[in-house]
Amino acid sequence: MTTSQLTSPSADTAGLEAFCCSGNSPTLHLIGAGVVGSALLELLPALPARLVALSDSTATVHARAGLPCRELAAFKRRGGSLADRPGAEVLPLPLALDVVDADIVIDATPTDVGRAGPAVARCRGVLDRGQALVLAAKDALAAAPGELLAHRERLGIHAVLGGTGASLRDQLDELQPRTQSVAAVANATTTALIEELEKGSTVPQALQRARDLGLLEHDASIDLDGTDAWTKLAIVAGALWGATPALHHPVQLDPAVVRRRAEAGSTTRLVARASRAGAFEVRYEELPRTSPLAVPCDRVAYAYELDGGDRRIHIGSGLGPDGTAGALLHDLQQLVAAGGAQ
Amino acid sequence: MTASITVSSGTHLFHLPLEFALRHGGVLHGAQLAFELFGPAHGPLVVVQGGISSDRRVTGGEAPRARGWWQDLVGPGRALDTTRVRVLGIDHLGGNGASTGPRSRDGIAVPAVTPADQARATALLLAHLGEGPAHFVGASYGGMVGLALAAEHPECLARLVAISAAHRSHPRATAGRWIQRQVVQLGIAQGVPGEALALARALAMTSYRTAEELGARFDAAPSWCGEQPEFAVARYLRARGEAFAADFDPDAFLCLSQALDLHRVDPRRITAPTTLIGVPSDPLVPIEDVRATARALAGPVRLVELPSRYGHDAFLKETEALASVLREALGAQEVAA
Repeated sequence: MTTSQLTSPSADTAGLEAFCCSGNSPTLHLIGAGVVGSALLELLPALPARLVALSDSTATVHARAGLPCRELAAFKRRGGSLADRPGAEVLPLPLALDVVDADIVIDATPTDVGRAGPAVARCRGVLDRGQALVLAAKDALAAAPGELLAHRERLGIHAVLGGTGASLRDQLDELQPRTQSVAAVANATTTALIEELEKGSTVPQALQRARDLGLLEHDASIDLDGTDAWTKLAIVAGALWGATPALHHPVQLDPAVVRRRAEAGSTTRLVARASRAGAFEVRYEELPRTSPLAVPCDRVAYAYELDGGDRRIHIGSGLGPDGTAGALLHDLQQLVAAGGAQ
Repeated sequence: MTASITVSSGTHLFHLPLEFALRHGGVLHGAQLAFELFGPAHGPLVVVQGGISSDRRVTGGEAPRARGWWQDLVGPGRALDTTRVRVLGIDHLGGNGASTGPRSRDGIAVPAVTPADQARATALLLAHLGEGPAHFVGASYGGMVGLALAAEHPECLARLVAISAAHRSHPRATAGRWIQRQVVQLGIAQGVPGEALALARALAMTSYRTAEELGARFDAAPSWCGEQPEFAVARYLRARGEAFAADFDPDAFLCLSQALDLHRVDPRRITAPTTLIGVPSDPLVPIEDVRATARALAGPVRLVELPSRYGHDAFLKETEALASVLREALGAQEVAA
């Protein structure tokens, strides 16, 4: 039988005093205007909040009265650089964040696990200023999960974990003492590849399908070799146990093995596993087709093995640019509702 | 959409298509069915579904909290002998279990679901499992699901047994359930959902059991607490209502109660061999409705009228009588001890 889950976290009202410091709606600063950022720009007009700043790799545009979200989305989709916009300011990002001082910062920059230092410093600065932070980028959270989640009443991580981050955050008080191990099928790209291979497609055909679904990371190799899954496992293990993950050893997908398993009635998934005892592994595993982890490529699953033998399963569909933007919006809606508009 | 569910070991999940369109216009996004399989890895498959308070745990261990809701009829050596057959139990969509419903959606309202939606999800699950036509045994809400499956997905079905279910929800049953839902909605609005659900369940209990049974059990003078009389039947209803409300989500109750009332199937579309079991004393599913359903079925049909003092709850109580009907309906050599 199912059991009840924890309710949403209460707002840290002291930390949200920055809300609504001007005007009568919370202010937003979006950093990163790639495919995810552009998709989010399309959704923001529905939110009772005001986009006051947008930063890309070239510059920042800001206006206290608010920016035209959809126009900026179209501009970025055409390949435009903010540095070419009238009024744009070329500022180091940390300075831009400080100058704008929006109520909520949304980080939709590309993940760079190898250079997480600047991302961590940036997130630290946002949170130390009392702002709220919503993440799509994974690098800072993978490098410093405990530090960032200490501010979880002001932190949105739904998009980081494929639309399951809010569940982890909201249930963390329960999951931390009870979870003995976790298994995740967290990378939808490899699931899409596997599904295509099981149908008889070649690897190039399968990769094209994943591309068509918008699931490929900037560098496809980090999907296939397990780096992306490892990063997400690091986030979860760090959040649960303060664990520092073992070094990731790249894995390989063997199409022949995938097809053989499918013919025998089972399936394959890239499964990331960690335990309280310190085990940490990412590999392509054979799974029964009825396994809760045998999610289709439009979903991800995180299964937390609890003391007592039960299993808490989080299933998310915040995938691809639109799904990730939707997950960011989910976090923003929660933060806006918690802070309230004046 | 995010789902968060807690399941025991042995629970399987089937992920429905990302956008699962419902009969009455809603869409479930990223929905799943939770199910369990009992019995050998190979063997005839029997899908078993019960009323709205039942779940995927059709049978289980002998310890009280491990027992399944139909343990007396499903298990090793029982009428549905799990040494010979595989029994598939599924949590209801929109219900209280681990299939997509209010509990798994963090309180987000589930659009209107119907037995036909559950039937379609079941058909997709059977296809995913690679199963050929399966037997289906359903009681109450489960019987409605079975009838919908037979009418709309005949390729999935070998034989159907529907207990205490007809082609429609009788307006009198709908009337009672509407009142129950108003009670629960009033309770939710007033901040006392659990108390309201207990009261609604108590009201429901009066529609399950017969006057004969209640009269035999509770015909006694009231006891007195000061100046207040306390009736034995009221104590019983209060206890049953509170026990139900302790573990049942009010929104799941609303969803499935409404689903019962949205049930409507054209029995003329059903060609699978069908056994209908109706209980003449059932206040919720009048025997006249079951007879009308039987007359309209297009395929081979057997109507069993089962006398019982338990009314609508006969499927939970009349173990011996049901056992012989099930063995005969599904083919004793195939399924039964």
